[in-house]
Amino acid sequence: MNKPTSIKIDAFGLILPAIVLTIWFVSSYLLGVPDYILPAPGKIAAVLLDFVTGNSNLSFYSGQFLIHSVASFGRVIEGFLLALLFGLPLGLVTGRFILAKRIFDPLVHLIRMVPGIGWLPIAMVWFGVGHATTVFLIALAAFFPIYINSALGVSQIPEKLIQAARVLGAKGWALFFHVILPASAPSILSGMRLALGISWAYVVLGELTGVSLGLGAVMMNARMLGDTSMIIICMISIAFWGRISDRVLVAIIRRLHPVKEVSRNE
Amino acid sequence: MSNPPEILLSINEVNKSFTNSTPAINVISGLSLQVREGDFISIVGPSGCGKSTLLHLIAGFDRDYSGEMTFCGEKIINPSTRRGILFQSPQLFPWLKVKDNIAFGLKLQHLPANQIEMETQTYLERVGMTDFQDFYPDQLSGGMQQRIALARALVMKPKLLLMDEPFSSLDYQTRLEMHQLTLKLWMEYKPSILFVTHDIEEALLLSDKIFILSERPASLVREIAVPFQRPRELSLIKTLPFNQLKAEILDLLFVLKE
Ligand SMILES: Nc1ncnc2c1ncn2[C@@H]1O[C@H](COP(=O)(O)OP(=O)(O)O)[C@@H](O)[C@H]1O
Ligand SMILES: [Mg+2]
Repeated sequence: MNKPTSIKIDAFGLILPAIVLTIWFVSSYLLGVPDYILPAPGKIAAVLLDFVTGNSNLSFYSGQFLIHSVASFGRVIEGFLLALLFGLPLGLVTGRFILAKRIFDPLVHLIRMVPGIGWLPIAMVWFGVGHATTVFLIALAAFFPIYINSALGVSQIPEKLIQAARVLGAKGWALFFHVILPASAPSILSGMRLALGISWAYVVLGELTGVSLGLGAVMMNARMLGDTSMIIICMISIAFWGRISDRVLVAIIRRLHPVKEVSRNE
Repeated sequence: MSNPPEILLSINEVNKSFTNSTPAINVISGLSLQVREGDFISIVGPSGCGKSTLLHLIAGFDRDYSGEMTFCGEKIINPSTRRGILFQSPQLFPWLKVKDNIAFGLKLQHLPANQIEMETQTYLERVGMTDFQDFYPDQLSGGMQQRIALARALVMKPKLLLMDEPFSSLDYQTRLEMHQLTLKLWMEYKPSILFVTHDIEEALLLSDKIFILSERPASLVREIAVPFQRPRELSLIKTLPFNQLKAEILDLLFVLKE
């Protein structure tokens, strides 16, 4: 049975964060590093709280946490689902059929040679500044880990497992849905998690180009307004949502099907 | 005397080469053999001689051979639920509970749910795994997993069960238990069994007949009838006739190695 992933904290893992935090406190309160370089922890905490709740009007963005988060989240989901829509079927097919691999793989790897950021200018030409460009960049960048990991997952299924299924009467779509898909699920899931992480990176990139709503947009405006606290708070928010969305994704997949590694013993 | 049982599997002058490697490897050459209904036949032969390849052809995984291979009078071209297979590793579906592993083939046949449940429970019970039906395979020992693989194969009521060194990675004690279980189930359901093994004692304890294959490319060099009465006790392995037959087979294999 899947053990519920309990959160265990390793004391050794806390040592370095504690040191970093100490340095931060010392530099802000004892060494007097100015707020426009690195705001004091207390200030960040206060502005963050106000960003979320909006009850003390500490910044221009007071109480706007949710609208900007929703805007970014929407783009992430849109881009990620597009990547999934293309990456998963294509990956599964190339993993299973050598002919499909020979047709698709070279093109995919050719496209992959251009780093995601390198697509930004041409995306702006095609889709204009803003939402569509952002979704395009996310979809493009998130496609590769999904495609590659799905293909890998399928190609690593032991032939004997497939044979065992075939003598039990599995063929065609039944073989696909009842054996190939679940057997490659662990690899597909790790591809999807990578892709989701990348989606959060690219939503920031896309939003920096100029949209009115979104955590990336707030970051860019805050930089122009010299509001360093807000920049850092957006960084924290993105990390927060990245983590939450990863947990949700894992939970959804586990809910659909137990994710279990196939034994590769002979 | 009653008529001998019907011929179930007939292999005639079969040749198999792997042409994907250079030079091409000729693995089976001019092999002929027959399996009748209810036969329990062991196959022994030097390692690498082509035993697994032969079972693959019989299972219908590979059509790339020459010669004639018929099962129930029909040419073998595809895998069939009438020919089950058991590998050395259980190859259970790790994402399915034990009971769903056993029910896998029945579900594909779209049988009524209550019939599937009934059959699954019957076979769970036959292999002594009822208490573990809600476990996942990775929670069970190798021997238990192999029991489930056996139940999963037999629940399909195959006419022929292909077993490719199914117990060779189990410890001695567990292997003996699996022998007992295999014999019990064979007596009950009477599928024909083709049992590949490199353990001659195992072959002598389990089967009615032993096919001895030659060094690669494999062909049938000898068919040995195993004369011991059933049920056979483990103490049989201490008797003289048993050891004489064992020595004879070892000699044959040793000569083949020369
Ligand atoms: N898919 C394959 N491609 C090329 N050669 C193979 C393949 N499968 C098996 N062989 C070769 O065929 C020979 C017989 O293999 P196998 O049937 O597994 O022997 P065993 O009698 O030990 O079961 C071996 O020499 C092996 O290297
Ligand atoms: Mg073998």
